[in-house]
Amino acid sequence: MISKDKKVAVGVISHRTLQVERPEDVAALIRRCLKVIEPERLILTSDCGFGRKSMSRMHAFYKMVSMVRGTYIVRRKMGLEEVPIPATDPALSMVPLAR
Amino acid sequence: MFTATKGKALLTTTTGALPRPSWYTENLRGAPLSTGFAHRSYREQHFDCLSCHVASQHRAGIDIMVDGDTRLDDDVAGRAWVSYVYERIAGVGAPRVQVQPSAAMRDRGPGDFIWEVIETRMTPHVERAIGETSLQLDRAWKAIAPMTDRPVKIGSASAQVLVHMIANSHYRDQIAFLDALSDAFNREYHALADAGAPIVQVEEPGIHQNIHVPNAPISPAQYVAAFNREVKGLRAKTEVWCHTCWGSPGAQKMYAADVSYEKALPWLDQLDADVLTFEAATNGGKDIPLIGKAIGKDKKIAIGVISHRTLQVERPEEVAAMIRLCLQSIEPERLILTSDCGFGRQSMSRMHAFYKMVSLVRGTNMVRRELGLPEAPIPATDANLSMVPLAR
Ligand SMILES: [Zn+2]
Repeated sequence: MISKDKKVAVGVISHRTLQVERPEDVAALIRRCLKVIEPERLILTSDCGFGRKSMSRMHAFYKMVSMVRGTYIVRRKMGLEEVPIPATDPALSMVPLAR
Repeated sequence: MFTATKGKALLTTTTGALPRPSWYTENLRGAPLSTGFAHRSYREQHFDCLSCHVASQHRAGIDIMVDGDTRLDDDVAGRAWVSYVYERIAGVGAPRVQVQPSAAMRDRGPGDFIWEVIETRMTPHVERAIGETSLQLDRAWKAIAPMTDRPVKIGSASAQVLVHMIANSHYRDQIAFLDALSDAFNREYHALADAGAPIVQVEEPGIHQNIHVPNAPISPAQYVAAFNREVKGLRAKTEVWCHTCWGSPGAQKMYAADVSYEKALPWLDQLDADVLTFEAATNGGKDIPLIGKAIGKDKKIAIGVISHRTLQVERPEEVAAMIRLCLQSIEPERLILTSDCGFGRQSMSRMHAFYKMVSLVRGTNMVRRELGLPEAPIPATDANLSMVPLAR
């Protein structure tokens, strides 16, 4: 429906839920987008803003992290560039990691 | 024994936690509740907060009130639900920077919401035999009891939750540790019941969250035995509720993937409790037919028809539809309507929680009407009290 001269930003993260979306869920939604929207025209975003008396800063933050992690799952498969996500750096964990 | 719910059908309640008012800035920070109550500023804020919670539940038409877990500190993602307890048990040392011994942490890491919860939670060790506890749940009850004629439910994180939040460097195994904790909690619940509390809620058994865990150190049968030890003798004095859900730090599930109660139900049915609560709204009530079938007729069932994980307030029609689904396998006299879990613990705003309560009662009233049961008055829906003119 939306013509090729426009890019499309699809909400893959909900501003109406508190449970943070899993990166796998975000990736699945992006793959659905890619069936009908070219990667060059696709932008990933939240459904709406995280403010307006809704969730806490912590919820909004991890929803952003999850969106980028989910996007990277798809980017990796497509051989696109990945940038490190500082929030996922194991070296910066405040508690020891069991490895 | 049944007290508050005896002979009553389709009562409404919520789990326990309610969002803190922004002005409630005092915290116990490890002090006994009695010490807080002796400090002018803490006392004022605590009691005023209780008054707010009572007023909002009254405006929503809730039958069985909760105290909003008002004694718990304003910590990250509701840490105080567990730390309130472990800070007040003799034998448990100071918290350390360490991942708690819970299986739910196994596949988590930096970048996960739950990882930041773990980073902030801190893990104490049990360093010597579990001794005196000072939860003062009886005091929590006495503070709110005179504020309303409706029954008030007081709950606490259970021994079974704590055994996964405290590292054991004293007892020979997890069962011995759990037994010692269970006995300590039992004394606290008895003090609460002896103070006259009509309902005591234990939050929650370890069964459903751990039955999916490979090589779990405690078996479902051992959880059942320990739970029944934790509530021993209590049903002779009061109505015992057992809360279950899939987790609520910051409204997050402890296991990210979808989970079902199915395997846990035969074990949950063996718990020495009058009422079992279940998280159901979270997946549209998928487990309700299983729950109705598996739980014996001697128990009442409180079904979560309102989610603590969403911000969109459920429509009363949706709530009513979920209740009708419950009624296909649970008798009205055995059915209680509740939220999936508490509304506090760094999740939604007070306004969200309030309208979710209103929706819970409006939806229940729709079904009460269909069944010819008396409806609960909901002051919040009184058209005469609208602050703007109504279009007629
Ligand atoms: Zn819960």
